[in-house]
Amino acid sequence: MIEVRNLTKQYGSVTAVDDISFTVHPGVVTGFLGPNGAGKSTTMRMILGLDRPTGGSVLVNGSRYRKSPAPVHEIGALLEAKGFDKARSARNHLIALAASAGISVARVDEVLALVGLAEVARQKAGGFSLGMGQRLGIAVALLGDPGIVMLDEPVNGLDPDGVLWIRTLLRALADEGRTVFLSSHLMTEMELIADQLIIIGRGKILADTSMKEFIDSWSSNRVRVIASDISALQGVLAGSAESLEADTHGALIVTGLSAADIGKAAFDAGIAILELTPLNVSLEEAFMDLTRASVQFHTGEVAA
Amino acid sequence: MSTSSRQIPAKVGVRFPRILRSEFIKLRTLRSTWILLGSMLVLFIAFGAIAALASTGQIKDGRGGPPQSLGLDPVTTVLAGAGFALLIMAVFGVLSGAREYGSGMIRTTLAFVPKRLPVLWAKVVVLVAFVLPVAILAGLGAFYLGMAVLSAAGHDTVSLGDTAAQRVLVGTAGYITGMAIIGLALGMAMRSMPGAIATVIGGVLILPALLTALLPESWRSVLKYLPSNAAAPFTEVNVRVDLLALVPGVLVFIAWVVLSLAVAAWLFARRDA
Ligand SMILES: Nc1ncnc2c1ncn2[C@@H]1O[C@H](COP(=O)(O)OP(=O)(O)OP(=O)(O)O)[C@@H](O)[C@H]1O
Ligand SMILES: [Mg+2]
Repeated sequence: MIEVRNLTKQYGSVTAVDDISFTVHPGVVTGFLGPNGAGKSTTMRMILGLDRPTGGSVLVNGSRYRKSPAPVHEIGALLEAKGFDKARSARNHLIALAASAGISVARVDEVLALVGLAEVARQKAGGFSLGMGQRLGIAVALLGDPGIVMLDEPVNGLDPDGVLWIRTLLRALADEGRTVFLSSHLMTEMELIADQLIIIGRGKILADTSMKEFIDSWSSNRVRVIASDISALQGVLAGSAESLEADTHGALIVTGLSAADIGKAAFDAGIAILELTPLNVSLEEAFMDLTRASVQFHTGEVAA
Repeated sequence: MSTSSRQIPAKVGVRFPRILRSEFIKLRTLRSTWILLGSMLVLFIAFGAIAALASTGQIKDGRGGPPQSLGLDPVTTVLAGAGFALLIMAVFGVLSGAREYGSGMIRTTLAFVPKRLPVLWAKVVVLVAFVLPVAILAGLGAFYLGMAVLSAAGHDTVSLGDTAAQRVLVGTAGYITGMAIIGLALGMAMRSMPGAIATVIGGVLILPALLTALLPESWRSVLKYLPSNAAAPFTEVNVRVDLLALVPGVLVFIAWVVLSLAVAAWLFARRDA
């Protein structure tokens, strides 16, 4: 469990993280979602005590990470920057880190196999591709067999196989009762991995909810209908729909009824349906709506 | 998928001997460590042998003039490579301090040891463990080979029983090791290899000469407290009256080492990683 309380971080005049509070619970995958520069990596560094908060505090399993007698058994982390020396082999990198925590070389070989780097373990990490480097970082995170796994943009640089692998891995870790906390700036990715969702924009928490609630609250219940006799259909639906409005193209926008309900009602009334389209807002759009105000780096319009 | 069941054995956890081991493995597994230590050893000994040959006239300069290094005492002659060894080990120190900042490895390291300061102390201990034995070995190698060259040519030699020779040999190894530690401290504090290398070399070689040229006469007495001048009483055969005596020299040099480490530790404990 990670408890973040009123955490603030300023770099000079930049407020990277602005008085945020949230809790990351065990047994579920929690997604930490936000656009570039939102403060995700900064928050994660503060959780590990790498950056000193300007204000507020973080508790890891109820106490400060710095005070833990066995830190990497509490949190295993993958951070943004490549945290390894290019000149050292992957295996030696892990062996050196493992030594500081009293972790055996057998465990090093175990995690190397787990992340699929066993074959290249004795090669210099400097020659690794982005995805292999990412796997090495994940191996580091898993080394201490930690109760909390915290990954900053883990799918970054992974191929589709790798992405699938990490999804399966994170699910397995959460199912074992571990706390899984990962960041991303892609809603589509989160949709597939996360149970819980914490959205951050410009250093502030914009949403802290379950994935299901987020989907329910953002997916609209509107359907666009074109029928042979729009006014007759309006009469049929008037009693059951929340609202009915005609749009400029002669279609009817129905709120509060499913496409199936509308189809059946029209059939019973002998009205032919010509077009029936549920108007869903994609989660990506919902996320962008939510964070639009807080996006720091707006892209310019592309000249036509 | 199995990620192995959770077991936090009681034996597991961060302790100083483990951090030491970790830092030892880190240095051992870099080729640059062995290249720098090896070149220090070879250059220290080779320069001494060349200087000895030159002083016996077996190597003439280009114009066939008189032997080089003439008039120097035997110990000074055979330890001619000490300056090179010093620079190489200062660079080695900087490397072992700044390297993790270049790669971002420092964040991984501190995620494993969030208390931080033990990492610095372990780096110092491991650095000393690598540098001091090789510096002693190189000094002895240069001494024996150089003296053998001098003796073969029928020149005066000095034995290891000579107290001045002992002082200079031990002092030089200590000086080299101390400069390596200062290099490490600068590397940790500046987080940049070029910057820290420039500072350590500038501070040792250029600063004393520069200040000698620039400072007014009345300020000259400050110069003897610079690291290189403070080290002179225990690294040079001839005792110079304008510099510190042996014990104050040792103490002032140790003070430099401690001061640089204190600054590095203060910054390391407080700054964002
Ligand atoms: N060490 C630092 N010094 C100064 N400013 C920083 C530092 N680290 C982060 N920032 C600033 O803090 C803000 C948050 O950055 P952060 O890296 O935490 O964002 P992020 O959510 O991880 O973004 P991304 O998705 O691009 O990784 C940005 O404005 C960034 O420029
Ligand atoms: Mg980031």
